[in-house]
Amino acid sequence: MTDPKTRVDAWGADLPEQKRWEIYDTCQALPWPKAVADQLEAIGVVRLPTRASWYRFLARMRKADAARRVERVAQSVAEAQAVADKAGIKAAVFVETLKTLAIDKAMTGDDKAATALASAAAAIWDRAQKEKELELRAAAQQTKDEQLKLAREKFEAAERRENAARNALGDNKLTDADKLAKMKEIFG
Amino acid sequence: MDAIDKFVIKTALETLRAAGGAGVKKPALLQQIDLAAGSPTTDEQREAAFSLLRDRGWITYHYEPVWHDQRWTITERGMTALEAM
Repeated sequence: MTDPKTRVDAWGADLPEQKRWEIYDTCQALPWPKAVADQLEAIGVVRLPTRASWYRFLARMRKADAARRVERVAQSVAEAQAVADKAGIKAAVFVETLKTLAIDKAMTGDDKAATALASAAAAIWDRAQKEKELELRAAAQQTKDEQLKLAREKFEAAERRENAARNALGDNKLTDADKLAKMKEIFG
Repeated sequence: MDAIDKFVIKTALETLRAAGGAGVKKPALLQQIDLAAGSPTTDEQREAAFSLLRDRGWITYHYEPVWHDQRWTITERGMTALEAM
């Protein structure tokens, strides 16, 4: 089904697209006729609509708004994916959550918030990744320190055994058999 | 389904297609149905359009893992129907 074409002389058809959206966004919830007329005058619209033409205008714009939201949702999904890719986010759940946030905001017409949310989430992810990296580095450093401590203890034990053996060999009071027994005791 | 309904249904399916796997919440979909109809619709009219989508197997739902919200997505059958519209 194709939507019926808008008549060229329909109210609002001669206005620029940006103006039409401004009118729709600011006037759609206002009561007819005074509030609408006041708001239209404030925006700078010269030709005021009749009641019928105003509601036809609103109906056209509502349909256009539905189409605009479809585009916004598609854009939000693409932007959330782009932000996730840029931030190097690998977790599927996190990326899908970003998308749901972006879609929900786009469906309420707040596409700027959708992008801001996606960016904020990506920044949080980035921060979390950096903290994880620091934790891993600290753990690696601790392991390295423990290995050094162990190596130092081993070296000191070897040094103690060497000194004891040197003393035993240099002791003239001991017989050869005693020295051999002492060596066996030291080196096991 | 008359011509206006078809436009509404098509818009709803297009919205779900754009949202992809993430899907949309039911109130947002109903609001989209309301907008696509042009003039404001009643709860019954919106629910009727939603039921049509669901009963024909064109949409399905899943629970979003973080907040456990029910989110609706388009099915393969829905994609086929949309392409045929």
